[in-house]
Amino acid sequence: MSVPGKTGVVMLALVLAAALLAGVIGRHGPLEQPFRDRMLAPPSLAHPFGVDGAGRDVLTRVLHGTRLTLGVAGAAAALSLVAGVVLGAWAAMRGGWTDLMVSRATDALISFPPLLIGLFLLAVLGPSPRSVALAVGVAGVPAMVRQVRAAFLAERAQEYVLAAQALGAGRWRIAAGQILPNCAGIILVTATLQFGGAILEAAGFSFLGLSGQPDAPEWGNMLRQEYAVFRTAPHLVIVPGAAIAWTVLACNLAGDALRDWFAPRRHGGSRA
Amino acid sequence: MRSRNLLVVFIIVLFGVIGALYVVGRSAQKTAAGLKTFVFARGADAQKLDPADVDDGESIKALNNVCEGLVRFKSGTTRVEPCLAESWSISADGCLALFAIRANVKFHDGTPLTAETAAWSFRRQLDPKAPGHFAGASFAYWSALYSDIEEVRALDPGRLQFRLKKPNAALLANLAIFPAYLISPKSLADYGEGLQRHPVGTGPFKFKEWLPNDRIVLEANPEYWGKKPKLGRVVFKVVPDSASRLVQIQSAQSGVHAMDGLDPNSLPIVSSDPHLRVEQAPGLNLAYLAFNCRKGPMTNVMFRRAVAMAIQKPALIEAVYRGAAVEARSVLPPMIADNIAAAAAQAARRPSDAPPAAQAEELPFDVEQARSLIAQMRIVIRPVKVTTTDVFGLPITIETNIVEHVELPPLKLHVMTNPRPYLPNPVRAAELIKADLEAIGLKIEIAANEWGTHLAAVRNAQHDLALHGWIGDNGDPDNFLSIIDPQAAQPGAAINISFNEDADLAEALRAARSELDAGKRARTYARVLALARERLPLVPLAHAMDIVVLRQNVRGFVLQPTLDVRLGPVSLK
Repeated sequence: MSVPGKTGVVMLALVLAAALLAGVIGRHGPLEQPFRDRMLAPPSLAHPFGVDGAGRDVLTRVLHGTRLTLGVAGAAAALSLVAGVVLGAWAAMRGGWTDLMVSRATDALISFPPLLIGLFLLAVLGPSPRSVALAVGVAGVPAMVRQVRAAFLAERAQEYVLAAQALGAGRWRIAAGQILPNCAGIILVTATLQFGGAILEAAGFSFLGLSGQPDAPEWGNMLRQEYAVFRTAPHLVIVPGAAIAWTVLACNLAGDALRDWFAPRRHGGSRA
Repeated sequence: MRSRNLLVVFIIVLFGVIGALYVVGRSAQKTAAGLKTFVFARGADAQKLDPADVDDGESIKALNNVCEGLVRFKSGTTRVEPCLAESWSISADGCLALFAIRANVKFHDGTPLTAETAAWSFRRQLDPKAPGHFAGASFAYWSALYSDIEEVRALDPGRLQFRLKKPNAALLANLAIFPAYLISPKSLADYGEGLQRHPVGTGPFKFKEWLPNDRIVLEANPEYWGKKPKLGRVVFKVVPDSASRLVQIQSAQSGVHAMDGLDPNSLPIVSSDPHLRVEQAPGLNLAYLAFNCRKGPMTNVMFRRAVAMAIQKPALIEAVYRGAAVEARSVLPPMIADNIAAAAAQAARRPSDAPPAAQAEELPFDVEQARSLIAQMRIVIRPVKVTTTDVFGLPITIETNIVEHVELPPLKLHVMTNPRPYLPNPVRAAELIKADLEAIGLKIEIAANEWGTHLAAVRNAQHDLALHGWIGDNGDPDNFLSIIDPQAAQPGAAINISFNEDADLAEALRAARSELDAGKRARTYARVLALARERLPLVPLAHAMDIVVLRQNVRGFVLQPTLDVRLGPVSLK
């Protein structure tokens, strides 16, 4: 694995560890405000990331925010993954009208900015972390459908598919048992990159105030709450901003690493 | 290659245009400097410039300098002094008020001010058939504050008489505010309905032009009857974003001399800038937490007391106002409470008439007691009949009590997302109150909506709790206390969003309104405030400081408690 790839995996592992250990390292519940006597305090030994404008330790909030942010982005990426694979595989295997309809619908959806689709969904569903996950997930479906459909079409022409057909395997059995494992690499890489994108988009929605309760320790929401004091207490904006950047970068590097990891095997296969 | 040439041409043209704009801008500034232009930057534009038909502060700020009323507030106070009327008298029964109109005053269009031309501005609001009572105008303030006025009549050119349906102690205070400003009757002939965009008054500045969402320009009125204005020209400029307003006033080049609507988070930036100066004073406003007194646990006064005892006001003032507020101890801002006391003291002939202490005991901050009150409310004792068998196997029924801890339902705390003068960071305030109330065992959900949605929700009683506020128009308590007046609580059009049904309070307020004797009025208001504190339809939180930022070279600016902007006495060094 390449050096950037390894770095990405380590960075991502650190983020996951932060999410798991939030309750242990954090010094209070994410919504409690025990440090009201030192609001806006700059970073110090007692508060490595400072205290926010409502008397909450920023380190604690960022750690708890990891769970919320990863949860929302994870749910969104999972939604895109499942819906994208099902629709993409369906279109590729059925062909004809089905393929045409799914492809055109995807084209239509892809021509709207994802933010617009998300805002529309959020207006219907009302602001909450669940709505944000759904909005981001739906906005990510078209890209996944395209990837999966293209991969399936390419694999369907392979000889092993012909062999399976000759042995009498049904269309869906071939799709699930033969083609899907051979497309797993490209799908996994896309999903990882989409996960990083989902974090950015979810943070964007939260920054617009659409993630539900205004005191939620969601990173985008933390930015929204404190950007007004950027000139006097910049750490309150820099810390959650850096957390977002760190995690997205980790996802992108890890995605690249995954691609490298899958690619040689596929080449090896074709050489044999 | 072609496209590259095009690009070069484009860039040259672009720079040319920018350069030309710069030169034009510089020369415009130069002519302005010759006239001593004063620029006031604010967050939003005026709605209309017809004093009788506006209710937003931005319209009023411009009108303050163009138009005047019969009386006005003495600068920096809410005490009434003569303006276009030199003197006045009110009959013993309180139903007739006579004003002596100042002689030799002219409107900006040359129309002389007489009792008849003064009466016109009132009649067009009073009488739906009068010319100037436009179909599209709401005249909302007339029905809210002036509906006791039955007739306005010019007895002779120098005397104007008001006849009232019933005595109204707030009449003079109401005549000192913007809906009672006089405009020239000739402006109707000149502009028709356009007079709503072209005010013609008697003030120190004349209206020059209005570029919507950009600027309103006023020019000095050299024939002003009072002290002549020292500025040549006044510009009210719209700069929506508070941060860019601050950046503009910080740079000398932008030509901005004053701004309001400062984000209190920026106070440290302003105080460290040697070119800037802050004028601040406790405002005529109140931020409060309203209970929906007709719903769920909020119907119980013990619950309301528990909530009041759990709120950490000092932390709220630090987090939300960055210290630029005073803790509210009663519904009325200190200035209004002082006004009542002063009026009563003046009226008191005998020492025994002295009013009672206006400030009754306030609930202390006591989380422990609040928590135990809530815990008690959660205990429900339920009688039950238990059927069992006795030692002989025969069925018997035992009556007993079961003690249950019920969960209180999550309460919806409604809040606006836009900063308001009384609450510069509403959502942060909601967060703090949520934390305070969850600490005593309640469950709170914040419903944050933009101003219009918020207003519709709370006026229709959709909230359990709501953060809200009031800005006083005049220094009179009657205007302010409508927020707890049970008569102002019709769902849909409610000013009182606590929806308290309290006959004692309603009666006390009604009595105070028609009481003309200052001493008795003060006692009635003391009773109103005591009732408010006992029944607690709302928790008073804070009175925000009014803040105006000025450049150091501005002289003579006085912060008005009504948030009026008076630029007549202002000069630039």
